[in-house]
Amino acid sequence: MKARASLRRGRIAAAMVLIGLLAGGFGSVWLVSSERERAAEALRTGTWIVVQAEVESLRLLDALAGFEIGDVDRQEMIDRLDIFWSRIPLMLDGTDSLAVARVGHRETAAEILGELPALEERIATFSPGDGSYSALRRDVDSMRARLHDVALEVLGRRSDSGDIQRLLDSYTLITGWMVVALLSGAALFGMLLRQLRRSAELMEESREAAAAAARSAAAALEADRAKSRFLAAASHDLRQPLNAAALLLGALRTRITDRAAIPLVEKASYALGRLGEQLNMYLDLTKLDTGAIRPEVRATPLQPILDSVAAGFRELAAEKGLRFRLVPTSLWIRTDPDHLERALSNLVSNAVRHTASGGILLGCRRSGDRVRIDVIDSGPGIPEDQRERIFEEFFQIGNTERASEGGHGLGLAIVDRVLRLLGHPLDLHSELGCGSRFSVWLPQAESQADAHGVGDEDAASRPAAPREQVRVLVIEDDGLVAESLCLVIESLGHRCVTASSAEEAVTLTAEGVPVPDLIIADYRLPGLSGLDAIREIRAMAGRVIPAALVTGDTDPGLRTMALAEGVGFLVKPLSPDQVAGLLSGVAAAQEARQVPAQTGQSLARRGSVEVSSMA
Amino acid sequence: MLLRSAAALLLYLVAHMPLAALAEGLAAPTGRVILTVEGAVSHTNAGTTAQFDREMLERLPQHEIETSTPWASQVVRFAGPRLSDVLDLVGARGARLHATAHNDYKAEIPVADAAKHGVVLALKADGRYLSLRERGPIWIVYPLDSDPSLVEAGAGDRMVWQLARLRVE
Repeated sequence: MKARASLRRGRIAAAMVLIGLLAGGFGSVWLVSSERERAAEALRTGTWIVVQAEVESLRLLDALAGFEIGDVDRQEMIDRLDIFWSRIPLMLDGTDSLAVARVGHRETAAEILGELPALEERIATFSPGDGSYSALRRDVDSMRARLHDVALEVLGRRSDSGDIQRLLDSYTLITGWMVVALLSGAALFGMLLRQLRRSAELMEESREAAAAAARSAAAALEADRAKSRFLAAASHDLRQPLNAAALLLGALRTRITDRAAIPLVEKASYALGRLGEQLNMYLDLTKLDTGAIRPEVRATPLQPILDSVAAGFRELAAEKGLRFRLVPTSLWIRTDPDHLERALSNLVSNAVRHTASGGILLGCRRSGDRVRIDVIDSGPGIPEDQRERIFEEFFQIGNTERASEGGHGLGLAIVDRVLRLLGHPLDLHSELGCGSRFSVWLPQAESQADAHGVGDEDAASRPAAPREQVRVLVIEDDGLVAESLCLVIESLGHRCVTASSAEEAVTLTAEGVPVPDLIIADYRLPGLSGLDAIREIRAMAGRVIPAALVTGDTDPGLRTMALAEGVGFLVKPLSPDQVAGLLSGVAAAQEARQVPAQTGQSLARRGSVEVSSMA
Repeated sequence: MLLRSAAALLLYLVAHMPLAALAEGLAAPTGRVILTVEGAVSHTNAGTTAQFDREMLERLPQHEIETSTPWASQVVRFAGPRLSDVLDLVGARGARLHATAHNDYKAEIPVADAAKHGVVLALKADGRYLSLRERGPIWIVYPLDSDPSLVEAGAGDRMVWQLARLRVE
């Protein structure tokens, strides 16, 4: 009966450990939930008082304007002043004023309070049409502007430090406990089961052990549920005040008759919207960090994922006047589609946000047994010394001005976490002033569509883009294709000129536009063909300019003809890397001061490689 | 005979009218209206609403609440009529009050709070009338200090300042 005794001892020890862990876990739940409430309350009211003060200043402006035109009587105007006035002491006294003090704006509030008696006197003697309106308006608006700055600072400060940070620390503590409780619950469960099998003679005890194991499993499950509930509650508590403030501003927007104030309210609404987005991202990040999200990797076609990412940003890009191009693919990959989509969406969102002109290109290419998804933009680029840091939470390049335009510090941190979780490497190429390329590497998967895989195997061994700048003439009648091609070329630091027909290209060259270093021409053009244009321009330049013909049809005769003339032959759709390959070839040739004709030859060879890999 | 029964009827009606309403007769306000009570009320003086000027509210028994609030570092002595007396005066029949302030802030207050906590419609703070600028003319005040559970129960949100209207539901 030695086994029976040891089993009993083991069970008692296990139960004690489990009880200790659960008690600790729930103790921290209790500790943390009071902290959470405190933090959420401070966030709610601290932000609220400044936003409210600004709102009342806007209503005062409204009343002044109404009085000037006879819409509002004197009493109502004075009431508006008083209501506005009643808001200012709240920023100086009481618990809510701490938020203002923390961003160092007590003086701003005190200063406004000091200006109010003089303002009151002026409003008392103000009568419609006496010319004092504009000065009054200006002075109240200056108060409003100062309050607006305070509000934005309180909002900003709270979102990236202080309470949310404390909330997160608390959350980390509690989830830490939960994870420990869960793991030990699982370990105990396993241990008890093993003992149960080993001691078949102890049927009685086995039954009890099984019951204990079930209890511990139930406790672990409950702990997990508690964690989910906590997350839900935290997000609710933080979102609610934001939502209220956004609604209030929305309502305010419809009431303002003062044109000058409208963009300011819109700016405030926008800032609130961004705060909400940031909050969502933070919660996502928290879920990722604590393992609340687990990936499910499987073979899946890539195109639907890209389509879905693109669908979310096409309109946004168009609104900003940016081109958005998605290069179609038939590749299959091994990933968790939802997570990958989230990561790509963040990358594209980031690209759209930071690109002021030009466009965004989303595409992929195969390299060996891997697939690389590229998000290319023509944005400002990322300085060398900041390429690591952009993946940190709350890091952003530039100043707060940039932040108010929509920069945020979480998108890339989430991308980094998600991709680590999935085991997909991410790399970044960027040229200041030209653009950036974020690339995600994924394992390729077998598929029905895989029999005719696209891609050139020598791409991986290509040299990095040389510093030599290449002037490219793109002849393409489809404006969008031409533009996206240019986008890729410019994002690689080269220059690009477009012509929509062979005739236009020839005219451009004749009119003294510098002779291009490389011509990329569509074969099918209205009027003369792309090949005609290449011949013509080469004749005008008196040398064999490197050139490539791009076409949608794979007529072997055409290919032979092009290659015979030292013209590269590429099949649509062109991938950004094919273009990069062409450019680096030409640039390398320029650097080495090779004879252009040789480059033409090498291009032709490269072209034949491309084509053979298509067969 | 007819006259006599009419007189009896009148006497009957008068005898059954609430005493307070009879005393006040809920006269029309003479000063600036600072509070309007509407909704499920049986005694009105302006259409379907009961309106009050400050004098009317001061004629009711005045009560004091001395408490700290989240909005000031000092303890304040608030004074004014009890919310329950005002509700009795207008013959309010309902479970909830919708309070609206001059700054458009809105809050819902259970009618039960009025009697349970002795809620006061404060007209004065530390002996001085509350102006609009000092969050008057009426501030709904709960005795926060004497019942610590009030803050957690959300009484802070119900302490409507710059009160303008009460709707009984």
